[in-house]
Amino acid sequence: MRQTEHEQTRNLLSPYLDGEVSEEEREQVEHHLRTCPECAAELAGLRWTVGLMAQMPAERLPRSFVLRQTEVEPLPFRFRMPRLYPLLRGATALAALLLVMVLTADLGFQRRAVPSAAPAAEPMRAVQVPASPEAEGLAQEEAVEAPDAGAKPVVPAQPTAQAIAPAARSEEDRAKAATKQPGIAAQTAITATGRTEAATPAPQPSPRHVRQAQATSVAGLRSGGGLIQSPWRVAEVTLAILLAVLASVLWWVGRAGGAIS
Amino acid sequence: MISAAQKGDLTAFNLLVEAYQSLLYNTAYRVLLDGDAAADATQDAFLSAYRALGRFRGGSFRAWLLRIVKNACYDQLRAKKRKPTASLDALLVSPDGASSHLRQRSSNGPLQQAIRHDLRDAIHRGLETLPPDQRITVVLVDIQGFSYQEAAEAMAVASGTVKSRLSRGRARLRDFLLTQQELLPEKYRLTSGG
Repeated sequence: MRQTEHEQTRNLLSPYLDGEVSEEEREQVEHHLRTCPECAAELAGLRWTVGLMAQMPAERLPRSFVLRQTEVEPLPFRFRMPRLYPLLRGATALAALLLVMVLTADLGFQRRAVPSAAPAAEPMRAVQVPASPEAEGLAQEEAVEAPDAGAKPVVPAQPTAQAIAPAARSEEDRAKAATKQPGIAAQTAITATGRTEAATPAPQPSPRHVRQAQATSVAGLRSGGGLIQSPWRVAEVTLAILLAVLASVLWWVGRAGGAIS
Repeated sequence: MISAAQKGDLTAFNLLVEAYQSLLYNTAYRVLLDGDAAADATQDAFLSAYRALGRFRGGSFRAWLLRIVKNACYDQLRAKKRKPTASLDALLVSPDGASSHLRQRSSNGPLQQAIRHDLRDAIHRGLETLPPDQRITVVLVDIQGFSYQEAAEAMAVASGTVKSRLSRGRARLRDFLLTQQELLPEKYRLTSGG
């Protein structure tokens, strides 16, 4: 019994010094100390040790640890994640490549399946169509242009597929607008085409070819009676979205050196 | 000051650095017992603190800082394990031959410094005999004056853990210092008996 009490008290000596004991424990310790010279010596030793440490001189600072601006700026992404950056570029290029392949295959199939003539009414409407998708596609061109030079020749073809959906919808609007304000519509067409030509110096499919393709695609869409009528469409849209996302991330990261922590 | 620094103001943060660098450096020094390593740990700690400042949600700021420097110290200790240099040698050699002065009982000035230098050496050597957990606890509570509660916060442990680590660490240090008494200036010696 005494042994355990002795042991117990020994363990309490240190917190007892700091007053970190309960009332009960304090009484136990003080009671035990009166009859145990060993514990009393232990306590004195502890007190002495703590006292010495309190007298320790502070170490002098070898220098100031104030932070400088340069230390604090996060490293550009390409240094912080050296493995990730080229991967990102590769993924973007791959997405672009896949999109090209899918589009080419799609257009190829479309052409073979072309009904004897696109509805006579279409060519008229189709003239205005190049204006809108190419105008809409400009924003995308710029986004993709920056990171990967290889994608440039592909760009003009891209907006075609992409903008077909909105073009199909807006075509009717434009037709309406055209009748109301023929002047403005014509102007838009001219300006848009002008801009497009300026923006894409790379070899592009001739406008007629584009128009034809668009006409048939639009025709195909119309007869299908829905936007997503084939897996091609799904693939194109998915890849285009993926490409847009990757390209934007790549652009943002490369430009701002964004701190992705 | 803290909230200004939290918004990313480097100048405001540096005011905090100036306020706490002595605390951090001293703690790191006592734990690592190596000036260069302590400086590295302190530098790393402040850099981490700056980046993590947004995550500080109140409570004891110095406990929060100390936790960061404690982790930086552990990193240093792990790095040291990979390339063991005899840090003990650095401590045993008293470069300015301070102990010789003790033989002459001249008054203060350089002697006082030498005496305290000896005390410091002895305690550092004693600290080195402690395992890192006990060492940090003893340094925080007995040298830097933390309360049990604050020390618990800094080390991210329960108060009871602080209590037991402190108890064991102190006992061990005491045992070491008792063997070194002759090397200590007389006024620091424990009078026998009691």
